[in-house]
Amino acid sequence: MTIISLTNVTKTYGGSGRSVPALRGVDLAVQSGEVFGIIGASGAGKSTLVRLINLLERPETGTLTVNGRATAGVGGRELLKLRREIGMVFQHFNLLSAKTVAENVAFPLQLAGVRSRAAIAARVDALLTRVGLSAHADKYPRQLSGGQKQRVGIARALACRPAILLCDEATSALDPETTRSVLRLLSEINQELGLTIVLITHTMDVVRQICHRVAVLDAGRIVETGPVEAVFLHPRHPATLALVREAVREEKAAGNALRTAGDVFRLTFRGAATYSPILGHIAREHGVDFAILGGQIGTIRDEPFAQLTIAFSGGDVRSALARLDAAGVDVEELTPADATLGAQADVVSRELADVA
Amino acid sequence: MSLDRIDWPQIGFAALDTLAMLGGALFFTVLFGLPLGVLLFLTGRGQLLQQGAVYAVLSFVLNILRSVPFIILLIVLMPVTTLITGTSLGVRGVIPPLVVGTTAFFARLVETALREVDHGVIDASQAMGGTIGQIVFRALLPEALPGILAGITVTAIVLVDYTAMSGAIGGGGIGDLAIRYGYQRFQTEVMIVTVVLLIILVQLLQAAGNRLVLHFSRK
Repeated sequence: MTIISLTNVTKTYGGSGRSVPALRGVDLAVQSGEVFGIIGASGAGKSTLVRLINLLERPETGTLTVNGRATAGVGGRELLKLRREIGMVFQHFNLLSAKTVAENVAFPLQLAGVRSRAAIAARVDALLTRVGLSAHADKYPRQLSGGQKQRVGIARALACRPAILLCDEATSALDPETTRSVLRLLSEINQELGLTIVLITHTMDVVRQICHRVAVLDAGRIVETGPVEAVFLHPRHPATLALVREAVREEKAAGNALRTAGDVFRLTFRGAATYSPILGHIAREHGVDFAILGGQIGTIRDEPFAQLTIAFSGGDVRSALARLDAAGVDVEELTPADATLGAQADVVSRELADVA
Repeated sequence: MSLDRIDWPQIGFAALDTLAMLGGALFFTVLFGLPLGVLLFLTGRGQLLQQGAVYAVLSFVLNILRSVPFIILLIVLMPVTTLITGTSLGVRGVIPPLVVGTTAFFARLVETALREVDHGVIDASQAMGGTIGQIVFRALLPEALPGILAGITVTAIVLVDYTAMSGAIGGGGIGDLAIRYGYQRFQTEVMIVTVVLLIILVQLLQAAGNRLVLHFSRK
């Protein structure tokens, strides 16, 4: 079931004369229960998209449906109610500094008009226990670490039992270790509550760790969308490529390819294939020598993957490739154009090294 | 010069008058200035109730009030004061011009204190479905409390200054004593005592203000 859908949404800032288009026709459909990533470099229109989805602003044209309701023309009490169905987690936490941790979590309940102190206390207690902060209930935000503050932010966002959790660069202000633990918490919440999570970020690493599907936003348009595995391992659009390259330093590998004898391929292993000793097999059985030029090994969510750039030479390359294909390894032949792109970067970096 | 010539009970009564003017004027200044400051903030650029025209008019009027020297304000407002309190003399006759003189100043301080509040807090409250009233009373004002308290402290000290000045046109209090005895009758010792009293009062106000601000600061 689609829980958030945008159809041909546009949004322009600034008045007449020198207006700046922030979104130029965005189509997006987020399914109920999934962790959906929206990734883009700064200035791509992410913030605008967030303010549209959490209903702080309205699309200029196009339609926006949230939680099964068309949002056009909704105002007053109805709008406030609809906003409460979307929990929001912010990059800079946006906690109230004058309120304690418990009061911060109670805040959205009070805004929603919950009067019973006992009900509020019970809900706050349960939420703080869930995010592992019950010992800090009476502290003020400034006494907490960044990771703890974000946990308060998450508890607060969940207080009114929203259908959607919208995370705007929720881990961008945190160190890698804390980022992992906050992402793990989000992932657990997604599974436990079946809550839809929309995660806006500028780093592929965040997407790789918890998202099921991802949309790439570039200059106000969605340029690529699909399962994280596909988008991360086989990026098609230059903007996606740039974001993936930021996460993995692949230039060297492709650059080296130019100086290597043999045909260069990119092999992508996923799941069980990651652990099979397939390269050794093909070397023995098909007489194919291989040189590993570069690559990365890691996990997408919890599934292992490996992506290697390899030069094959000698032997029966054709049957070796067939063998790889049969084993479930994705094989792409790298064209000289692929290699040149990286080679330029490589030359630059070597020149820099010479200067140094 | 001798301290024997000082009429201590008279100084005591004058000090009480000064405190009464200060307390009364401060109360009304906060009563009028706080909502004005909130309105000024909310109608400002990029804020919840952005209203260019309202902001411009409000800002213009407040600036006019702030640019009139207080001693002139005292004289100009005499008829209005008489209308409100029945007299333009003494403690009661001074409170209206004091309030007019400091409300605009205090409203600006409130606006500044509210602007200091992280805009993210407003975004968050809005995203949580808060109404403007809820956002003002439950988020903005509590967050800006230390800044507003600091503003009240500064305003109180300006008021001490103004009450002393009002002695020149028949207001009561320590300032009145300083002018009538210290200046017009050349009783230097009265002048010194009144100045010392004013210094002590200002120091106490500042110290109390600082403690309050510190107590409510959570940043």
